[in-house]
Amino acid sequence: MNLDPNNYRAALANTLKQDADAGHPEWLLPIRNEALKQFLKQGFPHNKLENWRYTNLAPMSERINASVAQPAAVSDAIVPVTDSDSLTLVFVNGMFSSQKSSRTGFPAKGIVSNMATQLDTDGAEDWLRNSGDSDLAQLNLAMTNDGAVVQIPDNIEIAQTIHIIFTNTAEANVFPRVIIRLGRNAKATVIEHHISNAACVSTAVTNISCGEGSHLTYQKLQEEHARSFHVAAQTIKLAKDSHCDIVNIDLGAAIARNDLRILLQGSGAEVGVSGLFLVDAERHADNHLHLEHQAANTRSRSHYAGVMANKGHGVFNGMIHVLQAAQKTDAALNNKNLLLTQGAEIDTKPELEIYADDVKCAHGSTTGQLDAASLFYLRTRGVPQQVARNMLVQAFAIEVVQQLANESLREYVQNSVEQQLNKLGAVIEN
Amino acid sequence: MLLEVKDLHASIGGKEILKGLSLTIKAGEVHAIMGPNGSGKSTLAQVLAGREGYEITAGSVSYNGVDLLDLEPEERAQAGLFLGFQYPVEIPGVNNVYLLKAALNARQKAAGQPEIDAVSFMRMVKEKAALMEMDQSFLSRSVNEGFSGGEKKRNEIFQMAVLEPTLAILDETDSGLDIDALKVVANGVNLQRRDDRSVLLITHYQRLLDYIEPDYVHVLANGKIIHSGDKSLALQLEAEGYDALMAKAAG
Repeated sequence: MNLDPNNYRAALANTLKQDADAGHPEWLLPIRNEALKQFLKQGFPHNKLENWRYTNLAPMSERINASVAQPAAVSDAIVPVTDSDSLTLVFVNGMFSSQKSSRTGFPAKGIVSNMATQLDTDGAEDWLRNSGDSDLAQLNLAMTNDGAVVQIPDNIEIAQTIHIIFTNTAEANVFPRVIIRLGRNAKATVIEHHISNAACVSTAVTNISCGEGSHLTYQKLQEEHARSFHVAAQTIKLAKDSHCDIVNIDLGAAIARNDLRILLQGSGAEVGVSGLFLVDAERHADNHLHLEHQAANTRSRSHYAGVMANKGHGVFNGMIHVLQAAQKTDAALNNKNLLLTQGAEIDTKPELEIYADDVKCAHGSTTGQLDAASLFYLRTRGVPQQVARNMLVQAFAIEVVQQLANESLREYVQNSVEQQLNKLGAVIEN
Repeated sequence: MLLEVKDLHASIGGKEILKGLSLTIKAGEVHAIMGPNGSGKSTLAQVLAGREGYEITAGSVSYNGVDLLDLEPEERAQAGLFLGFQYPVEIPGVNNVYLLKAALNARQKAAGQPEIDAVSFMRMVKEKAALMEMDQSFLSRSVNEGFSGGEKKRNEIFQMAVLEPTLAILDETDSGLDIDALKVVANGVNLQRRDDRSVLLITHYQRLLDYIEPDYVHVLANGKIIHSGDKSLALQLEAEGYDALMAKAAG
């Protein structure tokens, strides 16, 4: 385990120098120092911690080093398709690229921006505060160079999709940060998309708050390079009568981990979560979902689908936590898994922790293989076995994929899934 | 000769179901196989379509001169064999049209032909759906998901119409149908009768044969065909029951 504090100090020194060069405000320095202190005290998460039992970050910790930010090779960056009228913010190797971004026709300035250029505005300090106690969030805070800030004022609805893309072209350490604040009755759709064509190490933090009566559609798509590490901590706070639809899709990275914490803080708040992860022998995905019902009459629906092939290892841990005040909570959580080959593995643990006495909570998990009768039916129509298998895996995933906000993204993800299955197909035995 | 089954023996889980079945079907003929429950009717259909799990212990099946038992289920389908299921499988998430397109294109590919273009494919599919009196909305729904029994059977015959098989094996296509649905399904089959298309109807009841007139009727009992005749055999069976014939065969 690489816990030599000097490594991180050197990396931090690099970040601090960039802060100084960029003329960032002075309040930032103590925040970063404190975050690094906290992180070093905790250290890198390891397998002896219950939360990290099945995911070993040792190979990742060895790749966190002083070479934090690489100069951006903007022209090499993969920028996935977006809706022609969507607002696109692109970050290449952690830094905002105005060249790749597009804000054509966007109605108002200041609603969507990149963090680094806005640090002197009021309230910026708040963007650089962690609300979760997630294990690597402090590291992100100490090191982050840039990120996206989306602030939708009260009663404003943004019809265009806000597409935030973090694309990496080098074997860089990146610390992306996304801040989303919805005012009262505001409405927006935000896509957070991570993609890379080099083995990068990404430690991402997303902090979201939904104001009273607001409605957010938040969809995260992770398709990092096959030798990348992606560890994300997302915290979503929902005020009274707010509504958030979340999709979390993991198709890439050697090790991917999502810690998604959802805090239903106001009565009447509602959240729907759909997750999909696809792993093979080279990839490991770990989804931790924590739903905290803090207020009465809150509602959550969560559905995660996992596909494991070729000794791939998936992890799902979903917790519905109902506090005493959260009477009349209505929560359901479900994890469905498909094991495509012998040796594929899923460790799944749906959990309930309930302190209120008048609630409706359900949780469950099922794990199975492709249905032999369905496979035979498709083959009797002339569909080759491999194509039929892929059709059934895609059918399994479609429940999550069809939650995606726009048609072009749905097609994009469907194609990504299909490509991966075709690659897997060559090695999947019957 | 389109299909030649000779002395076919098939077991599942060590239990022999087909015990020396022989059957010959020529191009354009419609054959009906009737028999009591447990006689091996559905096993015959499944074995011909290539279902895994059955062990062929003796006999042969020749289809258009090739050894059918050597082919994978999809290869059989690509060679023009179609199985209409007794219990069509519901496949949530796989859209009807998508399945048909994949099926047709797989056949084109196997035959060394180019893929069908999307426009003429959709036109053809819509025509065939109309033929089966199916609502267009069925096309974009998941395969058989939430379909009633009648809708599922109708969908099987619709798929047959799209795939244009050389030999269609229809396993208990009449079961679970009310009389109106039966007429639609039977009419769909009749419209598809051609000189170069053979049909093997597998049924428990004579009722279906009132609507689809077979050239030959066979009685299957205890894994063997015990009696063959023309369509009048079906009427005789209806009147006398299987027991009389089986007793005669045993005697």
